[in-house]
Amino acid sequence: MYSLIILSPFLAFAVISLITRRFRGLSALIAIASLLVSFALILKLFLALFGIGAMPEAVSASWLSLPGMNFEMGLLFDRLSILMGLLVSGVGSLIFIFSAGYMEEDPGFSRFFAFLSLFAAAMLGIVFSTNFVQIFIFWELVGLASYLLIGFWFQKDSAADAGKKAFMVNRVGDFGFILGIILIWFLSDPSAEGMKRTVDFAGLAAMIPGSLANGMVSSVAVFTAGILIFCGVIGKSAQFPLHVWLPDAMEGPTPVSALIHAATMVAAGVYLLARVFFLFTLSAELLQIIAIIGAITALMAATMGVVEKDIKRVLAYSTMSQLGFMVLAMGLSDPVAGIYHLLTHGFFKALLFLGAGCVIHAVHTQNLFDMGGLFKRMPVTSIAFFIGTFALCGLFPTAGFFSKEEILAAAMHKSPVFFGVAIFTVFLTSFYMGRLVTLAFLGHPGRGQTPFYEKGSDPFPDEAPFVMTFPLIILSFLSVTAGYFGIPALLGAETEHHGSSMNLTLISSAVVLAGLTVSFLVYRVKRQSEDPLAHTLGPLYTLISRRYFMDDLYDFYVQKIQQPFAALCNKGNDLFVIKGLSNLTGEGLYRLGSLTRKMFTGNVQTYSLILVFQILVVFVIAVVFMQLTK
Amino acid sequence: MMIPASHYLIVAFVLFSIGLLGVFTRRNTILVLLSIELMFNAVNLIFVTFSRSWGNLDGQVAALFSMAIAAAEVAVGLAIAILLFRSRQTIDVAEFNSLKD
Repeated sequence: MYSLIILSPFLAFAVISLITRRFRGLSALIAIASLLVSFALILKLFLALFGIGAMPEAVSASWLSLPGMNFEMGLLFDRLSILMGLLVSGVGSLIFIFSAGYMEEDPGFSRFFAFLSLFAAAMLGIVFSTNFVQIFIFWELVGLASYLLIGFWFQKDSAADAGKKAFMVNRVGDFGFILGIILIWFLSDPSAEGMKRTVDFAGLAAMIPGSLANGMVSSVAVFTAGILIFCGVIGKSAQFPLHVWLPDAMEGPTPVSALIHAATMVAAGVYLLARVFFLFTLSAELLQIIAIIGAITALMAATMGVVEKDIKRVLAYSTMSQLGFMVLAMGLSDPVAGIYHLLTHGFFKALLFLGAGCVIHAVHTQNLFDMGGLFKRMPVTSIAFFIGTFALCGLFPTAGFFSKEEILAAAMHKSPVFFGVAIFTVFLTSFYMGRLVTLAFLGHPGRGQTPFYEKGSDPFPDEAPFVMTFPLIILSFLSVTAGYFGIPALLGAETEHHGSSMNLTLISSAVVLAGLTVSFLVYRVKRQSEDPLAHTLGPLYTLISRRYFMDDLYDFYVQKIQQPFAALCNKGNDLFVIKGLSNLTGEGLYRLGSLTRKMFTGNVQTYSLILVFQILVVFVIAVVFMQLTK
Repeated sequence: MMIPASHYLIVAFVLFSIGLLGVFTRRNTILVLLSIELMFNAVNLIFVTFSRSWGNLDGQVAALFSMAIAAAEVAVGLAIAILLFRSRQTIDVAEFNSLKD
């Protein structure tokens, strides 16, 4: 029965795309209902964690059986997967409902819900995977669904390109991931133990530490496998240096952004880190690298968020930055803090994106400098957005405060450098979120050169319909209260619980408030279309607003190195394979044909002569054969 | 005196060869058809010959069938020849070469 968790949204995808595509309302209903079914099932599992109802055994069935290897498909039920599944299906359902309002006028409405269902199904597949091969399959499905959804408005070149970019960049990371899986497969050498080679998480967790201890597996091999698997995480969770796809992914419809950033896709990477943490924890160097990557991403993304003018992209950078935080927490060997932050972040990031969706829905622009004074017009959205902002900044008493505090505590505990980077990132986070809120919601409408209400079709923006604000309200509630559910304890915090010391709380709160205040003071000024920071920061501003030239670097690599190389290979292929082999075969057959076609003169009498001759030949052969076999 | 079967067969063979040669060499469609009839009759002769020498009627029945078929075939063949003449203004088989290449 529990396989319905994954199957039900997957069936919704099939049914919508094959049958009900023409019926918009029905399609949306099927998609939402299917995800609610998953949600209900996971909720049942969740209650079973507290002893209400029976906890089902992990299920698995043989999927691919070859001599010497057996791959399984199964469902893994533990605290991590159930909590994560709850987030994916719960937040996912809310986003589905929101989409019904947001995409109402889009001609591709049903297609959208089909893809959303596929996305949710694939993500739930990742969450409940029991082994590496299964997780990789769903991992790729998530990649496919994200490609389809980011490029949903494929008529726009920029959207189509963004979809391709996300897919390609992920492919780079996934290549490392699959190599890592193969390596893990070989590392799980059974010779001594009498066990089978496996890619099963439980089996590996039991086997690898032992083999490392008795020297059957070298620490270098474990390190390599860990790095390769981490490559997949870097791609999927948009960590430096494969982060470039995430800002471009904003080309997709806003609910997709919410889904990608809150519940699916980028969460998958962090989830994988937590799922196979038994592997990463075996190598201190590996953890160090993970922590460094996380810290770099957190800081880099935060700085880019400061100079961004597009409301959705600011949120995208904030996601990147928060993902950096989570990865940092993993690197500091505190997976509970990382997952805790992932869960709370899921709530408030979905809230922020859906809020941004309401804003864009109303004002038809994404440029912050064209907005302003929305608070008076869209009170529900604005208040929800404020709550999301406070949660993202980590202000007491929102959920973000508790989870961020855990990570900061871990950083303070381990290394002052990481703590410094983290606290500076917190400052930047509150600065750019304060900037966003000040520009969009406070002040007077139309602070820019061309006010939004002259660009849009509506004379003046109004509050979004209830179907869109309803998810906002629920998510606001969760963003505030999720810190009081005792999630770390639920996750079974085995590592020492840092708790939040009074000092740390004071420091981080002061930093957050400072960031918010500074940004309010800077951006409060009316009627500005240029970012005042551009003058202050000078060349640094250019550096950051060009995204540290990372995209240009990749462009350079692709256009100046990869393309010529591909062209060279193409030429070689043309010369030797196509001209050499293929053409030889083709030409040879053509020549042979030209010879035989001379036979076919069109003259009936020639044909009949040939016919009689052939009959004679067959006859002679038959007679000779009969004589011989007699 | 009973003429041995081999004599009949030799006649039939000669007849068949003449027909075959006609089919290969004659350029007039009508004459080609005629040559085919010659070959038919050679075969009929063989049927009847063996019918005699084996003392049953199977061969004669086959020959009768063959003659009926030959009659039908001539009707169709001549009709085709007439249509060909109508469309090409000739009955020279060498001219009917549109199946070339």
